[in-house]
Amino acid sequence: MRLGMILSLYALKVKVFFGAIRASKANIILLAVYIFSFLPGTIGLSFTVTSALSSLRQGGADAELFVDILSAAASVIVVAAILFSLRGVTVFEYEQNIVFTSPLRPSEFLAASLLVNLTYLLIFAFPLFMLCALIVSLLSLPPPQAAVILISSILFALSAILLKTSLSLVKALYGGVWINALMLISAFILMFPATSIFMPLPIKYSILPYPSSLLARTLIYVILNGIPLIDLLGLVLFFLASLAFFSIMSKRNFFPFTTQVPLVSPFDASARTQAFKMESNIRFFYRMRIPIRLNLESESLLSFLVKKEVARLAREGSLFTITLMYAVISLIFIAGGFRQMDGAGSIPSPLLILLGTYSIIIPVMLASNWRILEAKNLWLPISSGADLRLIARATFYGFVIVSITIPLAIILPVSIALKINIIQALVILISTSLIGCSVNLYFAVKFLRGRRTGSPSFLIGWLSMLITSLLLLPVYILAMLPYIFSPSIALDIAMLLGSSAYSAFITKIFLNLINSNILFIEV
Amino acid sequence: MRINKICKISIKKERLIIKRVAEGLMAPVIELINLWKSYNGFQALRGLNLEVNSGEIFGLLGPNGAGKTTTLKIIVGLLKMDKGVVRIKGIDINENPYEYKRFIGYVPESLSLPEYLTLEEFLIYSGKIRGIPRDQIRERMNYYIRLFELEEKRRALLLSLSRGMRQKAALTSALIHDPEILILDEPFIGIDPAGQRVIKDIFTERVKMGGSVFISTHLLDTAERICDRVAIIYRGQNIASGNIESLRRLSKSGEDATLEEVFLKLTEETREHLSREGS
Repeated sequence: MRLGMILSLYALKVKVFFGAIRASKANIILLAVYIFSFLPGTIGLSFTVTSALSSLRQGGADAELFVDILSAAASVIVVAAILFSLRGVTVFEYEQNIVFTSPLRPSEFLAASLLVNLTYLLIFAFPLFMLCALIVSLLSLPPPQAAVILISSILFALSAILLKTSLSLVKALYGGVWINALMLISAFILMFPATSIFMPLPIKYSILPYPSSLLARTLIYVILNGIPLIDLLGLVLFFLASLAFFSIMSKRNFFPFTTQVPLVSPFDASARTQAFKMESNIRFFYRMRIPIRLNLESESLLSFLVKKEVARLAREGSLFTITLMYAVISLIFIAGGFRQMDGAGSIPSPLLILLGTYSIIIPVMLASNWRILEAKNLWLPISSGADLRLIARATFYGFVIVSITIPLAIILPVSIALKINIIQALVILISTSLIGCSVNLYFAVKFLRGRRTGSPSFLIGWLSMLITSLLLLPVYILAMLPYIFSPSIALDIAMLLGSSAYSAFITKIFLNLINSNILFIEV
Repeated sequence: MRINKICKISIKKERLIIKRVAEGLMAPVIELINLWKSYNGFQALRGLNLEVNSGEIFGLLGPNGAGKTTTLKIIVGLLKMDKGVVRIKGIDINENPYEYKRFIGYVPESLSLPEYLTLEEFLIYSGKIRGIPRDQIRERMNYYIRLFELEEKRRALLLSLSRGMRQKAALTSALIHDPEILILDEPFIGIDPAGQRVIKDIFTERVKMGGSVFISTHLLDTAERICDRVAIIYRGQNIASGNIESLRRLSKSGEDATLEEVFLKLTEETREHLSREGS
């Protein structure tokens, strides 16, 4: 293996993945906003976890239950590694065209990929590392114990990555039904003990020699001031076995057996590759024959343009995603996970919390898809002399129609059936839709105006979501009024009117900002 | 044989131009005066001047990065100029950025279409945003769909069309409002020979009726055959314009020099001149 080649490929892969970050200084600021926005939640969560672990240390909780829960979570990582390897070895277009046609050896490619995966892990699991560091610090663990926690976690993560790569190679080189079956059975065996958390079963993670159990036991016993030598040794053995498996498999020439996939990176700002990803969506959803067709009969241009927007949202899959998302929320709720908490009177309905949380994501998705799929088509209205403000208004109306009607159609029957105050649901839905759609569309237009085509949708969406959340604070406070004062129809009406007026005011400001920016877009 | 053919074409074109001038058809419909544009520190246009007359096919030629696409984008309003004047049929586009667009039909080079729409929906959309009455949209849509032999693809998603078909769809969209001026960036890329012939016939027909076609192209053979006049731009400046005969004279090329030879000679001379000046 040639180290120079490995490092060169590593640098190339990292640059491609994080390419857009280097496009402008604004992207660095957006990345900082993304990282720092995790801080409050992570700090809050660290206090909750530390409090639970302190109770465990004082003997107030069942250590086995902690091991079972932590093992189940760690098993999910191993199972994900197995399931992802069912796709075989997936590579990007540039890797097939440029890297595989160079004299690079398969083992060197895999070594570089391994380093890249570790880099991704360090960056994306950053909040998790921060959480662990905070917990270790809050529990005042001595340095040797903290080191054991760090080493065992890294060993486990490395083993999962090695296992995933090796299994992907097995699938690519010898793929067949029996390989699939073996992997699926392994995944089932690894996850099955998780059922013991919900129902009494003799098979528990805490008594099994699973890699996830070894990690969980190591972590919990270190926190309880124990020395889990056997478990730690087991983890080392798991790592060595994964490494040996990887060493054997990496010697095979797998280049001809790879599957090309579109580049997937949250930092990928290339409209071409992202639009490419949407092409399959469009083909699929158009075949579903959703009855929205554009014809010459529309009365006004605005209604025609709104219909076109809704047709786009239906055909690129946004309608389906929103429907699926709210259906899942309703099912979770109906299944009873949160229902017991309802009716307590002093706390907000969990349905409302779910609604408030998830409805913020919808405008981000809609605006991001518009930016990827539709912004590049603005050449047509601009060169036609059409009023771009009308196009923006139609886009906004399309967003609002979709982000209000679908959740309402799903949530309304659930709210009525479970006797939840529908006014509160309406307040949250309408305000989030109006404020969220106008803010997200504004940022999409603003970044287009600045010709910041290198700014990743993911980071723009994160910034928009942050601003939307801050602007929604007064609405959340209004929605909490029935939990502070005694609920009444008068209060409901005041809440609905107040939030609607506030949302309309904010929306008007952002629509004006959109109007003043969209005329300066250069394509 | 080839020389004779080119000479005959040039003479024929000269005569046609003289005839049109006499008929009063050839007034400037596009005027670019001292046009400047830069992005991110790169000076794309440096005081570009040129005129396109009514009743002519005008070709904009130049090496990569010369500023051809930038020029076209400024004319159709996709880019804002830093300095200069652009007049379309006498309308200053800075003073009135919308009115003039009813006279133009545009097809970009990097063809991005709303791929989630069917061909028919796309053409309806193109007509609607231009405020064309529905009967006219229907009539012209049906006419061009037949002309370009796209009838089978009428209800197909744009996504499923080939590059050539998409180009034809975009051209139909540019023609749906029957504009006087067509502005086309590399209009023949990806189109089969039969399709190219149909497009050239459309150009000829429109020019006969007093319309103008302004194309940017790398295909010098095509430009030589179909353009009445051309302009060669280099580093954002117009270094030569006129018909092939006048360009031959300007470049001191022989009588049998092709447009490609004239183009290469002029651009090379300009490059040497600029490097001597240290620009």
